[in-house]
Amino acid sequence: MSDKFRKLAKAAIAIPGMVATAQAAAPADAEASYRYTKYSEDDSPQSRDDSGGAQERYNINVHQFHLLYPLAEHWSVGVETSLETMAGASPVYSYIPDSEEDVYTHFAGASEETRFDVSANARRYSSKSEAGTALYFSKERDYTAINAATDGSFQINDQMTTFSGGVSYGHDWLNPTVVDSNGNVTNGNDLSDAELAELVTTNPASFGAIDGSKWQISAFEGIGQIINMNTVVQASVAVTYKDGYLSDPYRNCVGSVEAIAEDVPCDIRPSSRLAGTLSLGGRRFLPNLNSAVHLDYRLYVDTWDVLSNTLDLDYFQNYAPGWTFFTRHNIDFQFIPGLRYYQQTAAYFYEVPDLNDASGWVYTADTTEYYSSDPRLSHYGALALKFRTKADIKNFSVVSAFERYMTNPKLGFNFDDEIPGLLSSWRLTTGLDYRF
Amino acid sequence: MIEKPGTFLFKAMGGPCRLTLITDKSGQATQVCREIEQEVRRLESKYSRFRSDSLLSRMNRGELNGVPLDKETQGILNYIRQVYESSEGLFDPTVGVLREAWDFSSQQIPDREQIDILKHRLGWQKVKWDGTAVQMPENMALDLGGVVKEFAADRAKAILQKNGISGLINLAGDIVVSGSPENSQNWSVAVRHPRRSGAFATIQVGQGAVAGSGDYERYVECQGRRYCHILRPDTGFPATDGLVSVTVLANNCLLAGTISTVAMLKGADGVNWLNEMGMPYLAIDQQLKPYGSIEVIE
Repeated sequence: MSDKFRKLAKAAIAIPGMVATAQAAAPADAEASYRYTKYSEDDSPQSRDDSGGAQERYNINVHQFHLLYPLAEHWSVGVETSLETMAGASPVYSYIPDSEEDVYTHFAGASEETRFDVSANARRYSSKSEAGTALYFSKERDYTAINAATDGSFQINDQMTTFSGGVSYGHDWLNPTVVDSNGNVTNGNDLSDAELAELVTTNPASFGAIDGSKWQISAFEGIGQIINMNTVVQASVAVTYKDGYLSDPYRNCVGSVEAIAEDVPCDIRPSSRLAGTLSLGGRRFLPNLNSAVHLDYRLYVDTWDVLSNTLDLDYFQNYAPGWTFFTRHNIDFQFIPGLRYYQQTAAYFYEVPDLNDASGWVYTADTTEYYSSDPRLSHYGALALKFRTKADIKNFSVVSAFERYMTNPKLGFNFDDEIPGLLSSWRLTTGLDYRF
Repeated sequence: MIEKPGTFLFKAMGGPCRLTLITDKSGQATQVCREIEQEVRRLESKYSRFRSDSLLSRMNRGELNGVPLDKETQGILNYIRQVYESSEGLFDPTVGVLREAWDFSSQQIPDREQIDILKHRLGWQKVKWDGTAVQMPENMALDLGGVVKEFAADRAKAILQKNGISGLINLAGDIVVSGSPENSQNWSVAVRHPRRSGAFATIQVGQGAVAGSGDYERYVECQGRRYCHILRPDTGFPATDGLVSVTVLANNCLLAGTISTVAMLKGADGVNWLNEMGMPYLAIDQQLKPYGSIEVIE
């Protein structure tokens, strides 16, 4: 197919109305994109670190590549890969030391990790429906994950109503790393029997996770309804079931100033988790302002007693400068400020061990007794401020996004507890899309 | 007007429009046909050069210079810009002013001097199209006759598809199909014989659109040579050394129509252009010899 013909066919398809509105036409253009994301957590407060110094928290650099290619009239295929490098200290557990009132956090020393993932998908589009399937593979030094998903949608009621649904299955394998006294990092699976025997006492959580795995299955069902030219509402429900090793293999007790347990991990979670979400959303286009408002709400509940509410409000302002330079080069902009509020209740086994209350060991080897001091399972709230921009220049789009994420128990209407280890962060993304 | 069950006729865009729909529900067929007819008439009144109140006439009078046009018109003009570039300037929507010199009801060709004067008023590149608005130079005019009927056929097909109906739509020779006819995989479409009445061939169309151009529609015959209405902007005359008829099959009628028109304009180079475009075609040369990749049933 000649380049001349391709350009002609593209220009024809681009005329509004050329393709039936109902027809979920396969994308007309191939698209390649690149994103770079820098994610940085705020340093932990020095005063609450049981090592006595502030810890530099996680810094993550992510490079993402994406390619979407239309095949024939009704198909598209896509490939996506990302490479993540992470460095920094992570909170291992929190506790109230003996003879103290304040909560302290113990951090694992700065570590460096790399994660690579790749996914591929294929979609088929027809006049009133579309369906797709995707495969995903992710690899870290101590973690391997695969996932397969399929989803589809169809329209009825003169294309005013869209039903969608999908299922996915994933399996993760854990191979936790251990650090020996010389600072050498080894995967648990590579240890000798003698080393493994020693690990039972020195690093019980990691030991417990060797050869651990978990799987999850998820299903969702959604409905979208066009109310009028400018308003769309949508709702969906999803159910996810996870089973297997769901504890955190790095939340060890050993190594703290005050050992709070011996030979047992400090993080023992139930081996299954059933979660449900309800999502509601609305989109309202404001023709006079050439802008749109998106409002989304999500309710999440699970069998660990975590209940969360998420509210997102985003405003999309389109702006096409009328100056000759901009119109000649087809340049227009989109500015998207946004706000996210998040609030969750604690898992029923979340606790910050208080060594004042316990003499000797707080935790026992009884693995049916669940406990975790992971701040992500606590009662807290968060607020994110987002600002995104997009500039379209002929076949290119330049995108950038900035997000400031702040967590705080009080934001979650928890005025009683201190939750150490909760993180605040900022994230900066920039990238380029090219359609061809 | 209902001709026979499932077939509807009306007249628009300067010719007969025939809709053949395959549906059990005659009520639905009538409703869809009405929707298609309304859409064709909407486009006709918007882009007609014969109506003084049409958007096109207002553009041509310069009333809309610098005013951002609606998305549909922008899409059509962007498409024209692309055809102009791809055809190296042969497909030019400003050639309509040459009609001031050409009278296809007579048997005379215009004199060169007259054409040379009119040629100053030609040239798409002089219409400063920036993707949003036009700046029409004085004494120039756009004629969207080469694309609007084809686009209307594509719109009609979109309406059929939206309603999930199989059918064949023929807007005065611009044909689109949706789905399959009864008892067959393909629609049979006749290609007109360029030199006499009746069909030159019948072709099978499974999907997409068929459009054609030929030197038989409107022409002047002078000293044994046929001058058709498809005029080149560089000479002010039609190509007389090339193809006499071209039929192209494509995903949409707009593409099929412009590819065939450009093939006629290219003269002796028309077949090379058709091969470069890569769409199935049936071309007929001066000796009435067929070329091309469309399988024909003679």
